[in-house]
Amino acid sequence: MNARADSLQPGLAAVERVYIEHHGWLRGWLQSRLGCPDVAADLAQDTFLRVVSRREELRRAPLRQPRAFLRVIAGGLLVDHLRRRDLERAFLAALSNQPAAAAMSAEDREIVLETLNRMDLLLDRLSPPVRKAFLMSQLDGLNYAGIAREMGVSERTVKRYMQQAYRQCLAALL
Amino acid sequence: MSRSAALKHPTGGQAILDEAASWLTLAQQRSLDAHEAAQLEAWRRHSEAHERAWQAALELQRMFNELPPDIGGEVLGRRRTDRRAVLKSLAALAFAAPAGYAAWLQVPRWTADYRTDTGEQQDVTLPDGSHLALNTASVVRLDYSERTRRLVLVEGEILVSTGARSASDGRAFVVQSRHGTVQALGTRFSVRDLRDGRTRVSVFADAVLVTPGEGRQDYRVEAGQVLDFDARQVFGPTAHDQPVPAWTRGQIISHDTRLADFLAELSRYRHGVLRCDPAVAELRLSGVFQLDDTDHVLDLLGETLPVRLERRTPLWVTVTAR
Repeated sequence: MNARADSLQPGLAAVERVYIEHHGWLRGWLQSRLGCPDVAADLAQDTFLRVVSRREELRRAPLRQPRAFLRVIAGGLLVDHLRRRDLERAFLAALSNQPAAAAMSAEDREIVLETLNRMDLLLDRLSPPVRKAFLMSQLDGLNYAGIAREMGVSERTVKRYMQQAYRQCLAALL
Repeated sequence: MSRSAALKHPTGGQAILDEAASWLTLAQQRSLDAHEAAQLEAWRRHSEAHERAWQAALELQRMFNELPPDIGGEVLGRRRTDRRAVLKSLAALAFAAPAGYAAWLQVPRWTADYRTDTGEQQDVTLPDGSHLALNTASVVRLDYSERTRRLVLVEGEILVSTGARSASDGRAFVVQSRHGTVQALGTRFSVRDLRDGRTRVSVFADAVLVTPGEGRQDYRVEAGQVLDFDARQVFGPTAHDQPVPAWTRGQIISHDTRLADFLAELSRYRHGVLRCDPAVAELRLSGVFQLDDTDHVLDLLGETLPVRLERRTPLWVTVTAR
């Protein structure tokens, strides 16, 4: 127990204890999933930043299973990291298939990749059919009747999908 | 997490979100008439929260407009891994980490990291007098204790030459890879993480003992032999006829090598993407190629094989049929 740290910043001693006891394990756990020590170290750090932001809760209710708790937080970060990596791969592949796009300047590419990443985060939360309908509408410019035909659903269902997609995207942007 | 937080946020009010989404769904279906447009205007002025929701809608529209359509569809519409499936497999793995793996991950007592970037090589003399060479894109951690001298090959490829002083050291000399251990028996050998779930050991002098991380058996590999292994078993050995690895002399040597394999090897030494058109993948080539100028090697291919290089950008090269 570190009473002094706790009096300065309530809950910090609890976080400190979790950090000291489990940081090495967490890094190892992440590294076995990723194979890359640098990324594992970064994600472990990010995990503990999240823990710090919850120090009030931790002070009131100490963790019974700290590793399970850390694994849940780190797992979320890991999934996001893998999503980003997939996205970058898909982007490189798309560039190679689009001669016009390959002529983009490095700066333009970065901007497009960043936009893609932001949108990807929004879209990742949508259910697959909702996402599919939404992309057909936004990127392929299909009208609702066209989307309904493509997906083999009614136009009313498409409208429901669209409504749901807009709602979730807006909620995430606000 | 951010989504549910946003939903609970008072300014994000459920009703406002529903209404904004309805307007967007309608506007996407057809142009609004004058009456509807006026209604939307009025809706926006209703409160600051309404206007904020509408600004978010415009932001969403702007993002879509910024994307080159072909790229957007291909990237955002890609097949996705199911988030829950990923997490589930993670949970299963967490309890099933094999012993060899655990050792590979352990934080050593005394560590030093050596690393090389893509296209770089580095020679290092270790504290016990042994010699370590790192090939391109490699990471090594040093873990010397009272009983063992352990090198952890985190990624890439290394050549180890244990010297005379090293032989008198008395401690075991071990290279730990992702898939198991390679113990030196007074010797020169290279270890490479093949990145496809196996490790490759090539022995150039004397012998080594290979132990897959989850295996119980040791395998002795002699000079002139190559052995691949994963955490459970070994594959080989096969023969090689080189006194030292070609890369330590800055070369790739190929004998009747498939072009696709050759390019995969060459790409280890280059930044960017090097693609091989399947139509020319089976062409064969032989020769000694210098690694210090991989662009020159690619030009040579264009002169000696019926292939053409497409350089879309300096970092994006495709080798295709002429």
